[in-house]
Amino acid sequence: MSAPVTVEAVRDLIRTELVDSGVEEETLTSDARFDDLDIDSLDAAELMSTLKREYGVTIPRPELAEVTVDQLARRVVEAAAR
Amino acid sequence: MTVAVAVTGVGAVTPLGVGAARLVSRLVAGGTGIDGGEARCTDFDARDHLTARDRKRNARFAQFALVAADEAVRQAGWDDGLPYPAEDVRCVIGSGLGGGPEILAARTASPLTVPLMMPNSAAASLSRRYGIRGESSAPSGACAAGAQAIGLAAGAIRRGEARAVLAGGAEAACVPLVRESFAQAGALSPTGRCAPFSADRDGFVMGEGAGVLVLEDAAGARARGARVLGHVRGYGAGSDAHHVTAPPPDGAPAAHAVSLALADAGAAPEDLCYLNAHGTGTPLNDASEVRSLELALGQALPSVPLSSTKAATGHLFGAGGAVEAIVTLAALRDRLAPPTLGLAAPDPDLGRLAHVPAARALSAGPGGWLGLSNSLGFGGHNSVLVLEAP
Repeated sequence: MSAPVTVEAVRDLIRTELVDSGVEEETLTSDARFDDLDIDSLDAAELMSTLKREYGVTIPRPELAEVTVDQLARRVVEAAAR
Repeated sequence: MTVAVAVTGVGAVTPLGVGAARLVSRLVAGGTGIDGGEARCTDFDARDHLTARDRKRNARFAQFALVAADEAVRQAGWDDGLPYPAEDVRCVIGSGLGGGPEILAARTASPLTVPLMMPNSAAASLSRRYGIRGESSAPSGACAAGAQAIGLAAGAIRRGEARAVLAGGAEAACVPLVRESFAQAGALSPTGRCAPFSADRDGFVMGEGAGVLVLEDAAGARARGARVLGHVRGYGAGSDAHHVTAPPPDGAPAAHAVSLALADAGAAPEDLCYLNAHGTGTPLNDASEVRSLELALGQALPSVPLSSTKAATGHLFGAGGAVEAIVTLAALRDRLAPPTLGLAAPDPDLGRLAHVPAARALSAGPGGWLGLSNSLGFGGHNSVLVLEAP
């Protein structure tokens, strides 16, 4: 069995993905809400697709708007543990 | 023709380097972009030119187009925005295979898979970058796509449908799948050399890159005080209706396209002072192309300097026609023909031709500085441009 998914690993992946999409690194604080970040629907779709590929987790798109980067990372870890 | 079509900016990313000036100076100096049987844009690092988001949202061929277009637009003096209403400006960027070769290799789907594959994605990206609201499109006539784009653009300006057009071609298809297909078809040089018109030519070498030109209604360009680099004087095109990949041996359909382009330019064969051949270096292309030039240009042909710059750039496919239009304009402007690199023993079966084994000075024809650029694509697409330098 593979090692359990950690919040830190998921957070790192999210941050890498968003920086890759052109988001300024300094705006990516752990309490930054997705709604406040400089991303569009396609960036969000890319991120969801990466999370599904890496962790087999599907996060409904509407949930993204309200959460912070940290909250999303925890949400992914919880869903991956199920 | 009533409306003259001016070229006010050019930009290129090629295996000879980033920038149109670098392309031209290395060509005439006898430089080559071919290394190890392939011509890649090794000097191009997208990080030097494009933001992380632009890199992620553009396949390699479209990245080339963006960088070439930025150069062309700067030269045209469009730095502060479009000089015409956005709806009166168009964008036509041709490509043979678009982002397909690169994206298919990934094999993992993402939301960007389709937007990156689309052959129109370079044109779409340019329209967003510069706020172009007129029609943007992507002709896909294989190795004639870049010339088709310029022909379509010039037509739109002449008919008064557009004041200006960003026109060109882009390609990045140097992947194993495409290489193997060309090899199996017998078009790729097994020795890794591109030797157009040589007795021992044995195929083309794959290249990649982009060329973009800013075309404007000449009166509009004059009115805003733009420097005019040259004019698109004529365009002629047609189809072989012959074979999937091979040209017809008699060269008749391509000859017709050459004649149409000359008629469109109001020029005679004797007016031409330089010919930039399609010259892929395949045994079939060069024989058929020269036959077509003989048919269309008759007795004028043996005295017009003729070269194929693919010997140095490799075959740029959908970018070729645009890059070679830029090269042709530069040759006419500098009065200096770039060579067919490495042409030591011309094929005697091709007849008497004014080969250019080393860069050579050009002489003005009776009609001034007129040149012709040939583009002949798989599928039988023939596109011919007549260009003029001041």
